[in-house]
Amino acid sequence: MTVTPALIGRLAAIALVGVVLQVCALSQIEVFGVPADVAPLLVASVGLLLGSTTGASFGFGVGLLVDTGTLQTLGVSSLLLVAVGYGAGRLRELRDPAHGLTPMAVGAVAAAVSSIGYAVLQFLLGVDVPLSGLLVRDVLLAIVLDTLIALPVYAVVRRVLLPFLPDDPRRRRRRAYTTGGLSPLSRA
Amino acid sequence: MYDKQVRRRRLVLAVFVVLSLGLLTVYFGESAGGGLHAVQRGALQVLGPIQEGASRALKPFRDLFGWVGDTLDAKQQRDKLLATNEQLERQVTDLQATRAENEELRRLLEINDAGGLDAYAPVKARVTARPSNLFYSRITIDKGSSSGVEVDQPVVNGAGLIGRVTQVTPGYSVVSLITDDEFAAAARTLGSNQQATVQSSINRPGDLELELVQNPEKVRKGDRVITAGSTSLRLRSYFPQNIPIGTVSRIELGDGDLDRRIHVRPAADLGNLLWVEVLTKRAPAQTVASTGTATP
Repeated sequence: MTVTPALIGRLAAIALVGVVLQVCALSQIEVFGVPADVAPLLVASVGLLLGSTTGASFGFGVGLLVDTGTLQTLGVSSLLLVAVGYGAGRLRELRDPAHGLTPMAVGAVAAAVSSIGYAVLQFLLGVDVPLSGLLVRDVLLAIVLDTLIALPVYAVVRRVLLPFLPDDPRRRRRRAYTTGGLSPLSRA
Repeated sequence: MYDKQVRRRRLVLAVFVVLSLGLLTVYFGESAGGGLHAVQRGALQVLGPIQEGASRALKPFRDLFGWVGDTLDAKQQRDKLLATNEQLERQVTDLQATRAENEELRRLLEINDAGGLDAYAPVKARVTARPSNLFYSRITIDKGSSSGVEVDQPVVNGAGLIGRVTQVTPGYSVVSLITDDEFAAAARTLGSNQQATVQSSINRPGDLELELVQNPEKVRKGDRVITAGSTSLRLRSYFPQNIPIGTVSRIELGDGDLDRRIHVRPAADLGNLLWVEVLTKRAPAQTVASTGTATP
């Protein structure tokens, strides 16, 4: 896949809009008592759509934006989101999952890596993390919430990146039938 | 070609991981005035207006979600408060009932001490059933023959005389109240000091009348009526002396000076009985007045 300036622009737009939306709105809306976190979902979606290298790069950028926008320790979110983007990208490259619910599963794992990893990193950095049943419950609820919104987030990201996506087999088949191409059935 | 891709991919990953770790280490190690902090603050200066504009633009959405959330929270809070309110109401009711019981038991103790009723071996009993109307003047208590209760034993509470045991089972007893039409007792008025018989008022449920008064014209409204502890020629008294029965509430004048109907309002609130005492021991001989035949 060729990385063009247009693709970089769109990725930057996705990152900026996503992070601003996260910081300004989503972080203040609580469902089940926890706010949704779209940053790992965005990174996972990009990784799933564009591969591991782009996913890791995008994760690093989004992480930097998140840490800067919220005045957190620089590098924490980047490190976690690099892992998320790379992992999602590798899954696409190795397995190429075609199931419609794959983004949900990947979103759940991304949210788990992000939430738990963030807590572990804070703990390693010596920041007082309130290790309690309440924290575990909140982490689990955040994962559930992110899992629920993973599909729409993936759909939006896919829509934005559609012109830059490599042809997937389903799209290729559909175009062949509708534009007069040969159907596998007409070969005989 | 494939190896090149793999190397490139791994290199990118390593670079970003190292970059992240480097950023993390430097940022964490430097002071608040350090270079990365300054860069972060500078970036925030750029991002700040964007965030502010976005925050304003997205406020209606936040408010909408917030409203939904607040409504759900308010409903949960309302349900919790309703449950708490119910619980508190039950507690208040229990406390009020307990307080009323305590008050009644305290009065019982007082009358035992002041009236010397301890000598009659009082047995405390809880009222388990009471009449639903004024015309049926009986109550059921939770003490019976197994507690030493027998027929014809007097029953009192903290305010005064309640009635007499008329039926007994091992665990329960029926008490005929002083307003029962079969009730009669030798009585004495305080102040005017008149011997009389007190019995239920005909056709006036809940009211008592003084009969056979020696000098009815001397009885005054407000005179207190107590048991005389005696037996008349016709009526045998089951009751120790000096137990309050009631107060003269009204005197109806008839044709002559001696033709008077003297109404007595019971001292005890017979419609609101919780605890009573059954005096299980007979009145000692010295408490029996000498106006008539002595109680056997």
